Amino acid sequence: MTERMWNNHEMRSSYDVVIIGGGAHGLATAYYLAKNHGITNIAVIEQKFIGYGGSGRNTAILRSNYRTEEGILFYDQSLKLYEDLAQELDYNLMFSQQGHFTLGHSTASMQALTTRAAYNRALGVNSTILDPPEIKKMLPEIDISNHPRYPIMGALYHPPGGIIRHDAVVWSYARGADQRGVHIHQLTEVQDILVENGEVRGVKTNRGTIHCKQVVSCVAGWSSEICKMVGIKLPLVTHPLQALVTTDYKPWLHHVVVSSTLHIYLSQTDRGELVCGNGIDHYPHYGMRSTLGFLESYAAHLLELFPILHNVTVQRQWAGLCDMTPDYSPIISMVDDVDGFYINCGWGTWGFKGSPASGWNTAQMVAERKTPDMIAAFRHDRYVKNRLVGEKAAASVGN
Amino acid sequence: MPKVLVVAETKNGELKKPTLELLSLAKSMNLQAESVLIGKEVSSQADLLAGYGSGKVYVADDAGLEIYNTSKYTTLVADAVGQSGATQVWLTSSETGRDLTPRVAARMGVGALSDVTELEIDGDNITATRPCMATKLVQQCRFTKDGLRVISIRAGAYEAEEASPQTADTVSLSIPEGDARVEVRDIQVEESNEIELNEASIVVSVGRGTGGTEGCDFVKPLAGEMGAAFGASRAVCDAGWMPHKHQVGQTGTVVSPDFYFAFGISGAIQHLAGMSGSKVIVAINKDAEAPIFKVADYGIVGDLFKAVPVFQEEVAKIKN
Amino acid sequence: MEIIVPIRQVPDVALNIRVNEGKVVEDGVSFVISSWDETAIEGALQMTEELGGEVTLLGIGPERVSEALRKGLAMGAHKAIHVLYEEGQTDSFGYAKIMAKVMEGRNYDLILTGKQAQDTDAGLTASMLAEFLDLPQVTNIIRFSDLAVDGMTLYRKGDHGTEVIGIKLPAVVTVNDSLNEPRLASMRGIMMAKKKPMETLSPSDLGMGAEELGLQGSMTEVLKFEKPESRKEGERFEGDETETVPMAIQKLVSEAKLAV
Ligand SMILES: Cc1cc2nc3c(=O)[nH]c(=O)nc-3n(C[C@H](O)[C@H](O)[C@H](O)COP(=O)(O)OP(=O)(O)OC[C@H]3O[C@@H](n4cnc5c(N)ncnc54)[C@H](O)[C@@H]3O)c2cc1C
Repeated sequence: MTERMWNNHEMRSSYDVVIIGGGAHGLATAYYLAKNHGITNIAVIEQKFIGYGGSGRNTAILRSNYRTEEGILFYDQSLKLYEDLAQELDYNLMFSQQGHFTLGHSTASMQALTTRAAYNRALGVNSTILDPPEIKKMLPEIDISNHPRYPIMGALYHPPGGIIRHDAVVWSYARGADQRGVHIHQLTEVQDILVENGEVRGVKTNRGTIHCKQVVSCVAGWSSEICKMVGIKLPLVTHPLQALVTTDYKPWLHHVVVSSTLHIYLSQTDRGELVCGNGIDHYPHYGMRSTLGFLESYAAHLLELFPILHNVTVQRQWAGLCDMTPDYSPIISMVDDVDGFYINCGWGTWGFKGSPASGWNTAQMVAERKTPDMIAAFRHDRYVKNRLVGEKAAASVGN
Repeated sequence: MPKVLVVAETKNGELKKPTLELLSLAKSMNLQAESVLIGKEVSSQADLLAGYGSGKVYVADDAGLEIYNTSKYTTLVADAVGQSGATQVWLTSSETGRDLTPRVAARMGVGALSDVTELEIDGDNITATRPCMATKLVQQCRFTKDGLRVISIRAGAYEAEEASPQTADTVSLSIPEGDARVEVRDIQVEESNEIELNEASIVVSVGRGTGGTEGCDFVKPLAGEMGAAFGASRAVCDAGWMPHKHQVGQTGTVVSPDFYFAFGISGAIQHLAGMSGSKVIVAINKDAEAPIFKVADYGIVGDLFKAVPVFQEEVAKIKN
Repeated sequence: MEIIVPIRQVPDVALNIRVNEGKVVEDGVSFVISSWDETAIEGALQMTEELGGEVTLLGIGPERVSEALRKGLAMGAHKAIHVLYEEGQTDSFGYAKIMAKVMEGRNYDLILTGKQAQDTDAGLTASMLAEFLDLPQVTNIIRFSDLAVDGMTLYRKGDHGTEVIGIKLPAVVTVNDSLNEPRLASMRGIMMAKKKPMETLSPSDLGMGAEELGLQGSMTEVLKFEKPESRKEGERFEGDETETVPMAIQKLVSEAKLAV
């Protein structure tokens, strides 16, 4: 075979750690286990191919201007890891920190954005409030008149936010893990998890059983299925999220723009395409189908913000699955009843930006068998203990 | 008793192989067959039709029938059906057949099954298998009402037996006026003595990987040396590197030769749908990920510009 | 020029298509406009851009077909007719009969559509429609010229070359995908599509009874679908062409009995 970025290996009958899911979170976890903790006898098991899930379908917006202390610190760590990642993995990730606008269209949303800016700055994250003329200076094509249904009243501007090449992140984590001895098994589906006396013993796959003492589930939208195998119920609901990309245009949009009121966000890639998305589809569903309804509402809302875009043509649309939690925060957690089983999920519509910090901390949790402080708030049992992380405002359409 | 009327097709006054395949099929099924022969200076072919088992041959030989004409051909076939009392009409799924099949069926007030690759006949019950969904699936169909059965059959689906001419029993058809609203003016042909794509047992085809007309011309001599027909992908024809008549695929000619050589063809779905019936597929492509390799029996990952001269040497060796 | 473009909504054949107990599994299938019909829409738009007039789309089938029609409207077609048809399996003959009914009393110069549908790959409906309407037909065109309100020149890809055909309108014409590259819908087009007129008709609005619909109105039926035995990838040869080519040819001769 021609040379790949990672190798195909024979599947061993046992590994120290099995990671389920070849998305950015699973691969980052494998990479940091090997790099930070010297644990390399690891298998990443992927049912289809690397990046088949949300990691290959997202719109790659990165930012850290969250609302809660837990969220801000976690995503700030993630963003900082992203800043050095291209060099560390020796791979061009096309990370462009072009700045991120969250538009406010009502007094209530301006208040919320102002609070966020204050929290962000208190924790050292660069965020400011801009008024419409300031917005217009940076986004000359935007309509700040009071004609639209939802006039723009201001924006939260977050300079370190931006976009990255999502496939490159996935591939480079895979290559980095592979180079350190991790085995990546594609087209391998985990069908059951073997537990004896409350301890993990291995996983059953369509290609045979693998013995191991530690299993990490990084399957995002498929998490409920995996957790069922060990008898854990999580308050996750899977929703499809759609996105589209237009044909290429000369560069004109130099920042990421998000409007949660209009349910849209967009950015322009280096190639010139506009990458666009909106809120989740309003019904839980496991299908990854793109719909005309999405296109229609997206077009209407987009033209409200940027009337000059009426001739822009749509090249392709697609959908992915999002594992939504009630508090719009992730679950990164050990499980008391099943020793050696770790859950990493609840990444919803915003989890790609969390991949490095998620991998870093999950790796530490697996290696040390205890929860790092950084992710203490993201335990799975917070829902029964009523300790939710109130991140809804900042996460919903924010991606 | 079922009786088949085969609509014969000719090129340059000679019968085309798919027509002979249809007569051979009728014979192998012990079906009584007659045929209708339409064109300019084609009468001489009636004897070969008879040799292949055709009973009466209904002939329309006229200068005005040189180029295909929907209206005239439909009238002639309908006339022959009437005179012969045939219960089935078989056509080939050539461009002529594709145009004529539905029109003849509708003229006779019946339905049709097109592009059939497998036919089972039990008295008047017919079950036909045909590819669909860009050959991703096949479907089994049947006629549900009484009446004439109009069927087009894919070239190469059945073999033509060897046969020699016999004196034919011919009936002359009267030449219709044709529809005044349509004027078939001309046919633009690139003169050649090349082998027809859907008759060849070897096809050598080129794709975008040739990079242009020059690249196509670089591969073309190999086709000649192998006694192969020369094909091309849609990308090549649309770019004007090769004339459209070379196009292999669902929109061009559907081929099922014994050997299909794909040089620099990536294998878009409509191309695959037009050649995946080939017995043996050989793909030559620089891109190891090209979808064509998924259907190739022999896949050579390499540069076609380096591979073609080696092919030529090796073919010359075999010939000696 | 008034053009009616019958379009068909089909499963996207570029994706995996599953069969269960002889039937195509619709769940999870994404439906698109048959690609040849998209070419026809583009062709019709180009004609009306030159000569004026409107493009009317015609779709027959269940509710979901309205999505295909709206996509065609988003490309720029002016209006659409949806025959809301839930009668299930119907063959080309049956569809052509319904279309002929729709055309009754309508004013059109041209019926332009794809040379075949991407799901059935049958290529029968348009010519049957032409016969039912007693109109001339030209199928499989790759070019048109000399556009005028009462006629045009068409270039048909025939067996032995490109046939040049002058035609008087009205007529039925089908297109080969070499005719053009269909345009993508623009954002404005997508929005405007919602406001364009869509006429929804039921078979009974067309005066058609049960005996003309579904299998009863058909002349043929599909008994079952199957996955053909898929070709498996054979042997790969990688390396220097001077070595791989002779190796492959040797195998072609010895295993596959290639003779030249
Ligand atoms: C349209 C869209 C836009 C988005 N935009 C953004 C954005 O701009 N910014 C942002 O930060 N986030 C965004 N997200 C969210 C982000 O994509 C996800 O949160 C993130 O990619 C999750 O990564 P993951 O590695 O956890 O899961 P995934 O990438 O989904 O990987 C899970 C993998 O597990 C595999 N798997 C499942 N079950 C099994 C099994 N039984 N056995 C083996 N393997 C299995 C799957 O095949 C899959 O490859 C977006 C999501 C979508 C759908």
